[in-house]
Amino acid sequence: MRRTERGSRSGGGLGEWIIQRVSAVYVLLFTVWLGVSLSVSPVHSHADWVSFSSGYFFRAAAILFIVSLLIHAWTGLKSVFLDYVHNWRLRFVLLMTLALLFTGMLAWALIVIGGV
Amino acid sequence: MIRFSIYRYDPDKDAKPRMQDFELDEALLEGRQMLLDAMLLLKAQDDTLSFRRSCREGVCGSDAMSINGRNGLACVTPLSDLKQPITLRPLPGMPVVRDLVVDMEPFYKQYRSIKPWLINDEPEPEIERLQSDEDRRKLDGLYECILCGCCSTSCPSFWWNPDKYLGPAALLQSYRFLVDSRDKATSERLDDLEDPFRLFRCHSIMNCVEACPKGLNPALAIHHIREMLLRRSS
Repeated sequence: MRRTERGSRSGGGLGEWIIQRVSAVYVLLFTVWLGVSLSVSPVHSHADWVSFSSGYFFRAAAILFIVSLLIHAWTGLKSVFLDYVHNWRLRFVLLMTLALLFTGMLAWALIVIGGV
Repeated sequence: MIRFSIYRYDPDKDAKPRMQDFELDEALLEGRQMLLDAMLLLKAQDDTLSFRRSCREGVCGSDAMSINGRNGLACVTPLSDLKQPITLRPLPGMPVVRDLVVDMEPFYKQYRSIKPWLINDEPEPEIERLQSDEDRRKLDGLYECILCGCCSTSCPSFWWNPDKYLGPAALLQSYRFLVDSRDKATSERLDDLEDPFRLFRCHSIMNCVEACPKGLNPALAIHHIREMLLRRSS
């Protein structure tokens, strides 16, 4: 049996497994909250949208939603690559491409939602 | 007549595998009802047809194969449950030795790696190491595994990474020792599972649960291992 220090192995599966589930729970909660909020107070115009989305709470929650969504997608796609892409060089290239793409998406979301 | 379509391949002679049709007169069965009974009669017709079998009652696990697309044991599969032509193939994803006989080494290699025996360095007691009824009951649903390989060879994660992912059978066996009150290597066993491949390639596809001819639930055992890892880390 391979002896290792607890949690010392890089990329240990448990951490990602937990992160994937915690991020999924937040994405679900935010989606339900957004759906309920929009059905209770429907948005009919641009002014309504601005009013709905300009609050500090909404912007913080929405940015956290985007971060959770990207983290969830990252762990999920990384898992797919681990399953199917056995050439580590190709896997590295794919993961780096994904990291760049997701970083761009996060920056875009911060500009749109956070008004950075 | 019962119709069969059976995978034939002899790597020493054949360029590629083929499916061969067989027919069997039901009267020859003389009331016997299981697929293995029919296969033994087919072998009497064509003695080049190769498959493993031993106990013929679902205990040894040697006649595991793909039966009409689902893994199972020929000896406990009633002919009456099967749509014709009955299609028989070797266990998916395993190297074929000949016809329905596969090389189980990738499966056994993973099984050996979990150290499937009790590890206990404490001094031996005068009598055997006793368990409470409650501790003994924790082994139910685990010790019954016959290592036929039906579950692991129906698991897509095991198909893609048979060298790195333990597979449902080895993980069920791993939990069998993790949960055994007489075993004292729990921490080392959990350490051994905590990497991205050995345990966490399981995506709860659940083919293993459907395939197990003994009605066991490897996916639940895997879930319990994850819970143990989670409790340990918190």
